[in-house]
Amino acid sequence: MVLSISEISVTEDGARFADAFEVFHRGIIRTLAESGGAVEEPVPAGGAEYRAQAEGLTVSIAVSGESGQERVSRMSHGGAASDAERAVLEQLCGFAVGATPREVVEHGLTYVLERLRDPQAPRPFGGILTPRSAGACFVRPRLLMKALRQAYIAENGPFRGDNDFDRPYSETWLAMAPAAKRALLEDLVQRWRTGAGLAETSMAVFDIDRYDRVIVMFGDDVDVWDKPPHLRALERWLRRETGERIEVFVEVAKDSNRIRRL
Amino acid sequence: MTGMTDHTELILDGTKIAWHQDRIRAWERGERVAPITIDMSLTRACNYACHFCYAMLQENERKVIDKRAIFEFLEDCAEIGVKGISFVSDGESTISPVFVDAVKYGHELGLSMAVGTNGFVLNRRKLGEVLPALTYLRVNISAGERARYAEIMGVKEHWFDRVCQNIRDMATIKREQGLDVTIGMQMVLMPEYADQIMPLARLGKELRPDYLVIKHCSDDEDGSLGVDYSGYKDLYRTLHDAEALSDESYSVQVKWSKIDTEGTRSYQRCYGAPFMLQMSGSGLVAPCGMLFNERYKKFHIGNICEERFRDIFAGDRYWEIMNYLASPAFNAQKMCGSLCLQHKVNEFLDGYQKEQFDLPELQGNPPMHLNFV
Repeated sequence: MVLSISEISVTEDGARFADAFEVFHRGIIRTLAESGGAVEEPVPAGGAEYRAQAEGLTVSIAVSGESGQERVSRMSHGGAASDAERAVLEQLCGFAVGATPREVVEHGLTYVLERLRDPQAPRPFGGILTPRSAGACFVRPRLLMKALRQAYIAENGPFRGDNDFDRPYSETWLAMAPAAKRALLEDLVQRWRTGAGLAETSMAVFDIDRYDRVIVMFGDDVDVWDKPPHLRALERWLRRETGERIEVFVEVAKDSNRIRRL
Repeated sequence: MTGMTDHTELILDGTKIAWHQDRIRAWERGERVAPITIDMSLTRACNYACHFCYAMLQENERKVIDKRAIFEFLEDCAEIGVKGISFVSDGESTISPVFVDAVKYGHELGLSMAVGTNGFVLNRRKLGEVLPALTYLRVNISAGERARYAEIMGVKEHWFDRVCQNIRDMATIKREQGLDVTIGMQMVLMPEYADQIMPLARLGKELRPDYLVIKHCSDDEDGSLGVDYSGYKDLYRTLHDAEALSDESYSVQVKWSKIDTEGTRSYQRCYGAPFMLQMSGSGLVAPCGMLFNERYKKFHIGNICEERFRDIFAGDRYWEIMNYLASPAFNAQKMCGSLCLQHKVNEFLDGYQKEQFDLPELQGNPPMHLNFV
């Protein structure tokens, strides 16, 4: 069944998604609507294929690429017992494509949390949200990822070295001229500033360094403890608008100790 | 890596986080867990100019931690369940006028207290007051010879003699009073200080602290201090020779697990900060020392000179930033310097979070200095 956001009210979600915290409800609806009724049976694929199951859930990943450089080309799942669980696995499948198998089993569910979480909704509890604390709809997927890890290791041996997989800047971004990137980022900062109700003198782009890190400066009218949330909100905005993992900083403070020597 | 294999001795190269399973369980239930350990300084100032000093990279808006601020902070720590406070971090706490009182008051409140210092302004009177209240006192001394000490530590040669005498006095006071405090010496090793490894190990054998620990030097993500991590490999034989000088009451230990990594991290999320918080000598509360500089303002949480720590801890700012560090928005491999204080705790919690192991069964006696994870 394909769901649309308009078909389900938030009130109804509470009963429908009983195995998921409220902070995930909108993400679940959106995910299922976008999935268009996912094919749940594992799809045969070229290259190596790894299958795993845990407590009724199944997963299959197709992997291609040279040894040590393998990437997941397709991932499918089956056996989801609820809409919430299905949404978790759908998001996981979406995340997996292009990632290493190790990245999928080690960090996949952490990314799913972030994709399902409604940034406007309060966290379900005061502490740290992780796959371990994320509620019932993450319990079997966690076991499934553990089983997938074991299936992969059974074929290939233990993972070697560190998992330093990181999705790089997109080719489109990398192909942009520095001046174009700067113009784009400055425009986005200006739009965010306006939306946040800050004056033109309250915040400006100071620099964009060679790693495309954005360094901003604040005006004196901005309270010192308003700066951290502004910076985090701006960073989220830039990432959402560009699709790139842009980082935001302020200018470095030089050491004030007279006798130190850097 | 569960950290459960080496607990019968003083753990200088590992983590004791596995011995705090009640707090780990609370963390994974989404509860607001108080830090087990807080590392802080009483001031950003320092009377030394060490060549390797990471504090040069940690400047932030300075406030003065006065007696009222530190006493209220210590009371709040005791109230919320912090177990250990170390005065190390980004300044020389012994030059703060509130140093002695802070150590003694923290101890009175039931907190485990510890100090890392260059050891210069201490004297027998101050040592007599603070040593009974301390779990450990560690002297940073990165050379075993006067001239090289002056070069590396950025001070006059004769300061070396005074620090050595203070270490002798610490050992004597400990012995005479039968104190439980552990006296340590620490060498922050950059490859270019290799000529001082053996002289320092021999000096320690003469001064008789409980241990000498030799550790890597941290650097920021841009390599501002210029630490050559590949250079440590050439020193392994000398480091083993230094360890061989250990005897029944003097232990020379190298932090192999960090030196071996060549400054890299196996993990991307930082789960350790809620368990092991760092604070600047400016009063700034930030998740860790590598994020003290104004540059990292987005991670700054509050300041104990302006607000009670119990309120900072209970506030959403604190937990929003801790959640950020645990989320994919943060990547410690890309966004942090090398080999931070929380490194071993992070390794453990990351492995646990990735379901690589279950919490180990606790066996035997807890390790020494349990409250300093």
